[in-house]
Amino acid sequence: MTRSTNSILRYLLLIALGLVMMYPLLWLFASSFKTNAAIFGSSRLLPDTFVWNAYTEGWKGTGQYGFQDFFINTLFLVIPTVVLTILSSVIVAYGFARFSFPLKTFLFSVMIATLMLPHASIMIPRYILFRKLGWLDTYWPFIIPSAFATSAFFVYLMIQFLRGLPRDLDESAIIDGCNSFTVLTRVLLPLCKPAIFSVGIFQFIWTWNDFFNSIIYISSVKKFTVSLGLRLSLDASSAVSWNQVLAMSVVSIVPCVLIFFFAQKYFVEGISTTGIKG
Amino acid sequence: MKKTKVLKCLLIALFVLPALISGCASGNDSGSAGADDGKNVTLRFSWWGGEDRHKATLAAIEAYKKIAPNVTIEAEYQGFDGYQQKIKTQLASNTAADIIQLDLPWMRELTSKSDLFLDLGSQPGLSLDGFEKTLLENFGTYNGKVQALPTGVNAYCLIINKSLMDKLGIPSDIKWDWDTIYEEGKKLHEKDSSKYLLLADHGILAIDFTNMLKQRTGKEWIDDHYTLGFTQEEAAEALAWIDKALKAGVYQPLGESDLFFGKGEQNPKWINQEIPMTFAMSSLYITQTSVLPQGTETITALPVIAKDAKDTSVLVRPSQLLAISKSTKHPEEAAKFMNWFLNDPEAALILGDVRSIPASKPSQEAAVKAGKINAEISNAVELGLANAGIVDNEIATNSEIDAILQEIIEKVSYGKASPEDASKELIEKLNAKLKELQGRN
Repeated sequence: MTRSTNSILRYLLLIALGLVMMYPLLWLFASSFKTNAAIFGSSRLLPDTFVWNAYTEGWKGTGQYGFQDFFINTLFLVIPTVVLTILSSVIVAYGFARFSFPLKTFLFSVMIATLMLPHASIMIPRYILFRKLGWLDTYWPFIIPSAFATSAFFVYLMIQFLRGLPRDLDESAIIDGCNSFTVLTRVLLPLCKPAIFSVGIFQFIWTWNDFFNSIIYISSVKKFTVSLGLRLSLDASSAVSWNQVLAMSVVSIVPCVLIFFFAQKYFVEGISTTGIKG
Repeated sequence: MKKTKVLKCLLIALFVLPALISGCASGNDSGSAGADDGKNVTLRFSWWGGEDRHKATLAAIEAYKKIAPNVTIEAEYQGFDGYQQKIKTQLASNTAADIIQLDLPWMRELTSKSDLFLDLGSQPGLSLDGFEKTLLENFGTYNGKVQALPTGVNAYCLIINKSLMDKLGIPSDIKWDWDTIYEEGKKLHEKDSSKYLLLADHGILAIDFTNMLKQRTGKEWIDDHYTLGFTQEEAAEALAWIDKALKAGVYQPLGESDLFFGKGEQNPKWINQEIPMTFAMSSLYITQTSVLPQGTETITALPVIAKDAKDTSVLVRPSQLLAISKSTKHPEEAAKFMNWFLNDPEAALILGDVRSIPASKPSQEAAVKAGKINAEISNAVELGLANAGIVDNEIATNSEIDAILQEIIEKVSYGKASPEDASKELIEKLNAKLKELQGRN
């Protein structure tokens, strides 16, 4: 008896907390069917009159290009960036975690130092560098650096994870005939799945939502990503159809939510398997 | 085994790819903005705005193709967020568009350190005749050169929900002064405690305060010599009025209205028609009134001016400015386009009021005649131009000065300091800051 009331209470609490956390999303979704006056004028979730065309109208975008273009652009930017980030971070992290080479500690501290640099201080030199390379108004400023493990955070994350894997695994693999490369691909990579997935998910969501870097490097509206497209028509001195903006916000978070739901089991799975089996 | 092969290929690709890309990229670097037969010209034009402005500007660019078929104009448009940072980055590294839309508050900084823009006064294809001299002198001329031209004119005004005023029995066709607005506001709030006469956040209250000072003294409130244009007594009096008005319910309490700082149109009391009036620049008229139910009648009027005012203090300023980047490869063509864009009646008809009332006379006349301009915005700008007050100098609009002013206004509004004490503190802080600012130059 007490146990069941206990669990009922626990569930109620969890449901209440869940609703609190979900409310902004629910509001976002519900508000995409409201008029401007209803969005700002009342705090109720459901409007008196529904506006149904926010999704179709919003999808058309403003001016020459619509959200179809923005979504395709974003995929062109995000997918290579994520894949290359994973590949490069794993390789660099493997080097730091398993090999000793001259200046290792120095190089490691340099890498960690780049983590501490404030973004604002590197913006202008980076911009000038990319201009000299002729990469402005293309996606290369995002894709190419990711192939060289420039996200110190991800490299560090992978290093920490690899350090947690026992070296005995490597040694036994070497006895079985592996070289240093196959140790990585056949033994360590499968065990790294959870870390790799977290790198992938984070990089996906961050790149997908990134506004500031995109606006600095991309000038042509033709090449705009979703996050730029969303704010294309936001200006203080003109009437904004907020329901369309909110509708497109709903659409644009869908990929992030999907990725998270489908990949999240790998977060947990695998952590328990990092051991030596008899 | 297969897996390793795939991985090896990927690895090789990883290191070869960048080399290939950078090879290609350096090849087409110069081609993008150059002319291929000496006649065909590509110009880049960047601006920020909302949906209406994007559509109208793109249509104007399309129309320009007929006038100058050899000129292609690449549009780089976006919302306001991030625009300033982007433009500054581009200007710092010589990659800015040929024609750039700029905002007035950035101009001082952009023109003081380096020479970024063309002298528009000496461009043969560009006529400045249509622009009012004072407007060009006050807002477009820096270091003795016309560096930017106003796209349109905005004026500070009252935005009034006339339907609501009629319903509440408050006259909406009178010239407000500080006494009448206080009396009416007090009466309204006493009759119905959920209603207030005026919508204002601390930014608007700060403008009210400086307006009161300017009207009383007839001088800039901080002059060019880094000295204050008012006495402590005058400041205390103005603050006392704000304090009195807030206590009487003329304004919505600041704690509620400041939740929507800078976004008055999102304030539920305004949307639900419990506040009938607000102060704003005329360009915000559409935003501010678009949230009201259909059929609501809204009008604009002169802002509050004291009965015995020595200066009206009505602010008139360009909505935005257009400049031509010094690094442009085609200054002539850019100037010609700008001339058409700002002066030509045909362009004015396409653009309407998306950049407020056109600043150039021929454009303005054409657009007004064709009914392309909202009558209420036009009314506000006309009133503003006819009653224009002192133009604030650069020191008075400095962001650090502004921060001090807003802090004092907030202290008084939240009842943390009496008008007496607050005015004393204001003068002390301003004098210290002015000394510091003067020392920096």
